Amino acid sequence: MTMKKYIILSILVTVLFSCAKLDIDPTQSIAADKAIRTPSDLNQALTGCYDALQLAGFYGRHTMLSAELSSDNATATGTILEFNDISLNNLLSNNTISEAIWNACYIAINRVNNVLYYLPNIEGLSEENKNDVSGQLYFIRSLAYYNLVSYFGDVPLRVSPTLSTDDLNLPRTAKAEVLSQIVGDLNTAKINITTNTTGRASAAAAEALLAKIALYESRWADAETFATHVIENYGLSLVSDYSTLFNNDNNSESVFEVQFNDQDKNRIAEYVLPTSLGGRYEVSPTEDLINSFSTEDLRLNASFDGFDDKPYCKKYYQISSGADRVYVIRLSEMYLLRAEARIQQQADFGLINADINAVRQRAGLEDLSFQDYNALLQELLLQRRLEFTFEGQRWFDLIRNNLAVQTLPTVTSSDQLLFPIPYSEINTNTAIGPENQNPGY
Amino acid sequence: MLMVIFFIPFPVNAGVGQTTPINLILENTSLKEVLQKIESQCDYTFAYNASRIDVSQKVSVSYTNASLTEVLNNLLKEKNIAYEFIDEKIVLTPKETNTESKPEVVPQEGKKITGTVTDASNGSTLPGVSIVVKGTLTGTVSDIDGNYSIEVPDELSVLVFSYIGYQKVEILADKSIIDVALRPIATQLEEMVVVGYGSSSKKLLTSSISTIKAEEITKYPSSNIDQAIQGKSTGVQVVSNSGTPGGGISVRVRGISSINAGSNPLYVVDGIPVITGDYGQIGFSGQTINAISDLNPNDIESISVLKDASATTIYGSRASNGVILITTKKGAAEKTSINFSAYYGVQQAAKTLDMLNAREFMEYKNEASIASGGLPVYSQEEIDNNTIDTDWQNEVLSTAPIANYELSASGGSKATKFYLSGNYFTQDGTLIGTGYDRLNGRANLDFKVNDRINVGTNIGLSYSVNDRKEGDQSLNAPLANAIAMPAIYPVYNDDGTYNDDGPYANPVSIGNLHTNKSYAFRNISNIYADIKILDGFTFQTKLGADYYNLREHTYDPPTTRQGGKYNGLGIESTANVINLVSNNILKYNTEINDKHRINALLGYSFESYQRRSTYLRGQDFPNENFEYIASAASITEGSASALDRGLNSFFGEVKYDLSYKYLFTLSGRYDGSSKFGENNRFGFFPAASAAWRISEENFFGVKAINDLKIRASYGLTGNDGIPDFAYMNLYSSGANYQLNPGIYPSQLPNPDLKWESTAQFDIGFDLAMFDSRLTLNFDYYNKQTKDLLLYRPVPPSSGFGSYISNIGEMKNNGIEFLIAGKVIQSDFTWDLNTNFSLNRNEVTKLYNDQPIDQIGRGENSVRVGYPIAIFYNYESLGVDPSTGDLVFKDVDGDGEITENDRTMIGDPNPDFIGAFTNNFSYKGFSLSVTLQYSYGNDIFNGTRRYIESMKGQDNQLSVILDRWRQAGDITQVPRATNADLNNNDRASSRFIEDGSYLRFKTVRLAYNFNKEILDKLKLSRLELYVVAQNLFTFTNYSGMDPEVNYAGDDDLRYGTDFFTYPSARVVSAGINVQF
Repeated sequence: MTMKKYIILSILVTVLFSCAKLDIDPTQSIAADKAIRTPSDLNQALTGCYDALQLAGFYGRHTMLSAELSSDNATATGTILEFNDISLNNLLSNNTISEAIWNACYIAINRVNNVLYYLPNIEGLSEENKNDVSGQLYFIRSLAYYNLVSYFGDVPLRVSPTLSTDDLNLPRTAKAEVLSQIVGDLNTAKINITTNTTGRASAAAAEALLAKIALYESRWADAETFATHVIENYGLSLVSDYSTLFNNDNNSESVFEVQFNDQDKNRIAEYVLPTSLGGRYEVSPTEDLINSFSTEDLRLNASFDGFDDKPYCKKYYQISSGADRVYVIRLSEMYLLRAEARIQQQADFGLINADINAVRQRAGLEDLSFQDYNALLQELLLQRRLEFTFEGQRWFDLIRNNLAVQTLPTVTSSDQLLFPIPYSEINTNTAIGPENQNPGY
Repeated sequence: MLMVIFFIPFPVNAGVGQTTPINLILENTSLKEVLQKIESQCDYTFAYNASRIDVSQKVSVSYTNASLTEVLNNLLKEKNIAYEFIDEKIVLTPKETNTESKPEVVPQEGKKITGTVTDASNGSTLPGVSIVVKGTLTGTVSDIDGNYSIEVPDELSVLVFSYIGYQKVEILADKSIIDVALRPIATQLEEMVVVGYGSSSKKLLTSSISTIKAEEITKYPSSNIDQAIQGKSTGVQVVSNSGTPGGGISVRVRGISSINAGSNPLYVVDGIPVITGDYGQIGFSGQTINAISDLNPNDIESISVLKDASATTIYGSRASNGVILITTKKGAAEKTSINFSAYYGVQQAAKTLDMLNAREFMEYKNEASIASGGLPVYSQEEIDNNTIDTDWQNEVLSTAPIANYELSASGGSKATKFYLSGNYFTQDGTLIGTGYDRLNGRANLDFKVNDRINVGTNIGLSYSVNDRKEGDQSLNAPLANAIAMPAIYPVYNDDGTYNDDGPYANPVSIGNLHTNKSYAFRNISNIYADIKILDGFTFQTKLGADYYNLREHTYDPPTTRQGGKYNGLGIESTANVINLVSNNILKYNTEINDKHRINALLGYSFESYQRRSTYLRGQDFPNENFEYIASAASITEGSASALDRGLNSFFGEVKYDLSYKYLFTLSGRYDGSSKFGENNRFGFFPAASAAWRISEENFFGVKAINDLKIRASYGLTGNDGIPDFAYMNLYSSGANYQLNPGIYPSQLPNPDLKWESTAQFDIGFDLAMFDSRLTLNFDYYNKQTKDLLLYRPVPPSSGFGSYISNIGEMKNNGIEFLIAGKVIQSDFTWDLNTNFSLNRNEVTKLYNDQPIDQIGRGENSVRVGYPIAIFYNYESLGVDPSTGDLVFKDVDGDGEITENDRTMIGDPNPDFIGAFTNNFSYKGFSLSVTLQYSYGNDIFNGTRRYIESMKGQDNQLSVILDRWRQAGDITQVPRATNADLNNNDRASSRFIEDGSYLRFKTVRLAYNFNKEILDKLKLSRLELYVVAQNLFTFTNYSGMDPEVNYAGDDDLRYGTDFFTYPSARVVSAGINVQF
């Protein structure tokens, strides 16, 4: 009897003292109210915002490739049907690539808005530091809105973080207003940013973005001013050998670039390299683009290869490490931007030629001396095209100069100059309905 | 903090029952009752002919610690009743010493009849069978060898043979030697059924439960329990998502009841809920590892599928999708038996796709190029002189073996019972480089410590190796690449290396060179103690541990295309999962006045779950001989993570029955889980059910019906299948940049997040007629699910894609019926069995009725007013003969084809499913044929979207040779054009096909050797058989297999084929031996 009692007792005791814990914390995440409190937290949150630029829908892949495919620079030669549709300028609103661009930009915007929200309460940080951080954040957000406006036109303007489900539905804001917001932010940023590291925002970057926005909005004088400032005041210079722009070293020409490494990789190389080199050959240069280079142009061999069989872009080649950088703005763009602004203002030929020649010389071409604004504009656009192959510029150059419809055989209506607002946005946003979709979709 | 239970082996009582002390004091009680009381104190039952032994006579007895023998001697001798111990029975026969107790009529011209009585199912002799001359009191009982001898008045007499558990036989006494074989009664209604936390007599069930016995499970080769139950239970839809060996299988009980929280039932093995799901970390996008495939089907004694609320509520918050109770085999206190069984079979892919050959491909490419204004790609010479014409599907698919070897032993004594088994299963996949091997071992031991305490343990171990190849959604999948690879590329170059000129990586090289193995070690064990505390009260405690260790190892050598990209790519990952479960149950059984019976239980259970995983990825290997990451020059990814989870529950159940006629059950469970926030941490789930056994009523006069029960139930169950911490406002790590760690806002908060709950109403009846020769079961059920956990899509402009909350409602209702009959019962028998299930699902509420759209490659949609996961897209009206483009239906009539013209174009949910089984037997032969069908399920053939697109680099289906070429052509295939301004290849009804099928699921021919031969071989059973599985499939579906889900178990990416690995046709031969 006693043995039995002990057995029963030990069993009961075991049972009663063992209990499952119900209050458990996650291990790879942290509750939001504990997340951003110290300067170190702030740093990590800021890093998170830069990380958003690396998203595949953003500079990780799709912004650049979509722009190239939409233009006469590249064509879809792989298996992805959505790229094919973009290349033919014939997308449906549920095109996964354009949706990815929209999503990635807004993820970046929300991350920035979150940090800006908690920033004032961080203790132990000086005003300069806080302003430096906020300046960088404004830059990232402005870059996102600039892309959104360029691709989609009028877009919802969000300047505060999404903290609950109460304020999810914002209508489309006119692009002029969006741009006005970011111009204001960038003007603040360019004064406050003290950081100057490759791969991160800098005052130069903020100013260069201002120049691009000014050009987009046809504010030629502003564009000229900002571009000049970037060229002269930040110690930046063109590299002498174009091909060195695409090796692994930092250089003096980069105004803003997004960096990657083998633990934080992009797959652009995988998408542009031919199958013989292990790639998917999804996006490749058009014959027209290759033929636009003159034979002495050093940029041809620095940018492309495989001419006898399958020409491909070799700016992104580190397929196994995925560490190729993605340029957002280079100094040479500032020269050409200034030239364009001056052409539109009908400024002095000498100045315009000088800017264009700065880029031509580096490419191993002879200097020009045009005396006609139309010819200069033609040449300028050609130089932009050849200088920034596979860097996401050509499509917007054509649109900005009203040349898309006449240059691209697949573009027959100006409706095609904007991507459709994603179906997933229209479906869920009560403030944006099918009637608010871009025309033609 | 857990303490281990020690159990000290008690000296086991060596009593054989005959020496068990009997204590009995009764006054003026009927002999029958006295015998019953003696039965309850020992392990024997009495067998006697009640017409020859007067058991109604009143006796008074007084025994204290008397042995059974003493009692029998005392009780029976003076009544002239002889007794004999035969196996587990004490056979009583009247002693012929007294003329007064002689049978009444001894006919003058009596004819003596002798013979032997045997068991028809296995030929063994039956002692103690009562043989009576009909209409008289003349009778006898068969002896230990089954022999009997009886005198009948004349040839017109009829002898009645009866024996408990067997069907009565009446035979004309026209011969002098009459041998009779008695058939065991369909024991369906006398058997016990395993239910939640216990077992119940099937007759007395008030809830809807299907049972599947061991023979049904092991009759046909299958690697996996889910596969084995396909078609065996009403209300359960089992879909083999693909033919991947060891791959995941979808099981749905009474329809899909959730959108995001999973629809898999809860699996419970020997009372302990087990770990299920896919813990693989190497993305296979589609075909998953199935943790339930570690169990050995041969170890299973029975499976109970709990379907309605009354049965499942006792599992509370995880029961909405039904519960599958698996009980493993136990030993029995009979002689030890040793079983050996083995089978060996070959599998082949039943169907391949008809693709263009080399010439056709080159001609098509030329035409497409010319049509877009270009030049021909291949010259006429090239086409004519081409020698390469590779049938790629043939290169990667082949016949493959499957085999299984099992050895088990079971037996025991009064105090100890054991069941031990060892099993080896091996299967090569029909697709190159795939396979699944598994080793299982089991030891189930039960000890009767003394009259009050039973203890025991079940230990199940398994080790499996799964050779996997990437599934559907990748550029590195052997099958997908083989289908899409044009025939103009050879497998090998002239120098013997793999040719890699094609648009995709060479599938044969992937199959042969690419290594991807997963190794799973599993231990599902428990120990328990069953203690009789007081009269009627028992306490059971069981502690179970489920340990799952999964290691994945993959290596792409630099010689493959994928590996070449990274100069060798290796991934190593491990997941260690432990689930500890403790069940503690107090049971109370009582009987009042022989009329009222109460069975009650009260329980407390907790579960503690821990998962630890690691992941490592390395690149840059020296050459293809170095396979492990130790040789990698760069480690590009390394991580480790942890997850803990807990569940605390209280549950209870009360069953009341009145005279075995009116039955009531009340049950409930109270669960608290770590998955939910403070506001809603605990949930309560109750259920009630009742049944009425009409056939037991005195007024019930239908003789043909021997059992009729109607029952109804209603209750609430829950579903907690969402990721942990979903209610929290979270920042997550991993947003790194320039080697700096970064965090980002990852989740919007919802402090009110709670369970999904399903209210289910069930009504049904169970009918048995003609002595259970015909049985019919019917159920109607209605499930209303609300508070569906939904990742409500939110505007992406918010920076988030979705937000989890309890919105949404869905309903399922349907009917199930099962008919089983013994059509012919003589030397030749024919049994048939058909089950039929029909379910209608409808989504009744979503957030603001906003549909969730464009899910997966089939672009499934969740919309109010439709079944879940319908296909909602453009409807194609066919090819316009004048343009060659598809014409889409202008649903809103506005003259344009826009998003508003999307409409419902298909439904992957079947209209009804079922199976039809016929079993024939004659002498030792038996033939069993099972047909299984699914009707009304649509499939989105995503494969055709690529290989019928006439775009890009893919090889195309032969059907494109019939495409539109010029005005006036009438065809189903639109024109080939690179521009495709009409987007002919958009997801539309063009790719929706009818996936209904009727399949010869199994055809099995077996021979059981008879008793004589068995005796000579000293065996108790020997069976040889051949079986064919998936022999024929009748379907209109053009793809490889109509049973397909490219995304595995996903409820929403449902009914879509995307280059998915088809199931195989298998023919095997096997042997079962019992010693």
